[in-house]
Amino acid sequence: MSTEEPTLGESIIENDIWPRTKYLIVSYPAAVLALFFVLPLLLLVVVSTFENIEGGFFQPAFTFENYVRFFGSDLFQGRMIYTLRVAGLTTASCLVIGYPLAYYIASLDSELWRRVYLSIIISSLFLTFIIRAFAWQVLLSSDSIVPTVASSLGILEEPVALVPSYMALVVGMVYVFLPFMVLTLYTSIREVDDSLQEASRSLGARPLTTFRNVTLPLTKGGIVSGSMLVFVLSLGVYVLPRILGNPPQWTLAVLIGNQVGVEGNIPYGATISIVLLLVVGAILAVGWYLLGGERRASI
Amino acid sequence: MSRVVLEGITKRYPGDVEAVSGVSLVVDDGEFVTLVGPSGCGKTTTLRTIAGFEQPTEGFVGINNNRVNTVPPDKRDIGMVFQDFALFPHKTVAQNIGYGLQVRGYDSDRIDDRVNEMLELVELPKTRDRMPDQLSGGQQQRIALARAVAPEPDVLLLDEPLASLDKKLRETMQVELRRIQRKLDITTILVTHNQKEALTMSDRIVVMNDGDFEQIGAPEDVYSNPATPFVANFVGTANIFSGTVSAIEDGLATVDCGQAVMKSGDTEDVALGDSVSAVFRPEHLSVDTRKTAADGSGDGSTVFDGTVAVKRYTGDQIEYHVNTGTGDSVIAVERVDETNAGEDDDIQLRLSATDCLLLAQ
Repeated sequence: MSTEEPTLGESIIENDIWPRTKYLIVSYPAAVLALFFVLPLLLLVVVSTFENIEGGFFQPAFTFENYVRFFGSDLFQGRMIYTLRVAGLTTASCLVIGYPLAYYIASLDSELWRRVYLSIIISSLFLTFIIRAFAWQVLLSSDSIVPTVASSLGILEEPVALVPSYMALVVGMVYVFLPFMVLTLYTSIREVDDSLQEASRSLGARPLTTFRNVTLPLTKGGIVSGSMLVFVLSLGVYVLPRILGNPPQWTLAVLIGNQVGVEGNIPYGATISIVLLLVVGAILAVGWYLLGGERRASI
Repeated sequence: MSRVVLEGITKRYPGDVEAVSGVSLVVDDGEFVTLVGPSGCGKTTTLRTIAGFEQPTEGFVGINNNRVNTVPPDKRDIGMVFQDFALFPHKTVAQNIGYGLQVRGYDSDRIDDRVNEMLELVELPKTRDRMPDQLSGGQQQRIALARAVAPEPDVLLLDEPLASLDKKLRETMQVELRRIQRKLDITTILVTHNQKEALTMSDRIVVMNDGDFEQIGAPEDVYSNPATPFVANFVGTANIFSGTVSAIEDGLATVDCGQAVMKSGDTEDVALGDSVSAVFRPEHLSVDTRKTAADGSGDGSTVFDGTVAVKRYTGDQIEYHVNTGTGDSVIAVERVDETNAGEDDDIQLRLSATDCLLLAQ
């Protein structure tokens, strides 16, 4: 008759600790997001509206002067366009070089060889950017392999230094970001069922037609995410332009670094960061839209 | 005239794994032939060799009297239905069916007509503009079939096309597939591990085991006259007793199988002292609870006395798993529950000598 009354232990577990535990568990990701992502971003936005004081200081204010300066400056807008251009060229090159590579690896029958190839590609990530950038600086310098070979093949009249230059920067960036593209594409290509390609072949489509009609559309997701990833990473390069380029090859990230580190103008550095962030956001939005479009089409 | 010819096809993979060992087969125009066997027996490899996805290590593959050993699949004029249907997920039903015509460069009006015709054939005219994932399993199956036959291929190849469907749907589709195959009169080769599917759908079946063809024949022949103990066991259910022929007289062979002694009228290919398998079907045993003559040798039949270990009611028949007095286990089947024996009841099974086949081991 009293069986329906909860015992003391049950009432504590069901009514007291458990609900709180639930909130605790749910609030953990929210807390991490707020503390480590939202809060710093808000601080950055706030600082970007502050007023700079000579000598590396700033004081609270609510001014859009920094933004006005950015959008009024040919230098900074030019750098923004340059940064987008470098990132765009890097992304396109990574895609063109990376797709056949990823396709080849994905189509290998032997799992062992697939792993070996992927490991080689991933292993280049074990070295820091800086080492790899310096390696390219050496490779492209006047008495080094690349110019020497190029001149003996008649591509260059004489072995001249190819670094620092726009080309050197792009080569270095493609080298650094290619693994991200290949890994993203690889996953996407592996997901395409072999039997779809076989079905296409059995219906009379040649390998190239099959690729155009089946493989390529079905890996659109990988192409978009790989490109977004490389593009966004490229927009933030800081080390590579400094090692493989001269000031004309400096990207926005280098200018942000200079504003903060050399000029001591933290609010303006924050402003450029925010603008760059908005551009990244806009690009991600376009990417999401493209991906969403594909998902809608497949439903 | 669309014939498929296989002559001495052998397929070896690196590491000396032989998937198919020198098999030969001629599939006639409009014929429906099924390759049936357990998984790993080489049936899919054989089909993929005909499709062109695999090249044989040795042998001759011919379609329409042309050697096609090294011809790529897209130039073979085949239609293929895959186990998982392999419909293009990013294309509509109409685009899927029209794909084979589109890559052959047909104009869109002609493709449209053919697509509609195919949708009528598989009785799904309203699914034209749907995406594959909006279709049920059975509908996807039909669309996959429509897509395969739309370009009017010489040969239709079916790789376990019904394996992923549930039992009810599978049986419906067996009938459907056969209907469409007859209507189009298309040379068809089906691969399945399901012996019932093989028996019900085909003009001829090929039983495969371990890379070899064990038997080729009409379904009735293969079922009632299995060539090997493997075929007997794989196609339908069989009781198999191994033993030695101890006497042959008056067209009646006596086989000593441990404690059990079998009588068989199948004496043509056996000699005294041969090691043989005595094979008989569960439905050929007559079941009785009353004990008649303890020894049935008088009328040339074999009698097993035993107890019912398991009784299974499958709706259309009753299956008795009987432990015999000789220490063997025998399966017997009755259409109607005349015997009405329960588990642990004593039971007597009787097998006429004409229903007991002797196969060389």
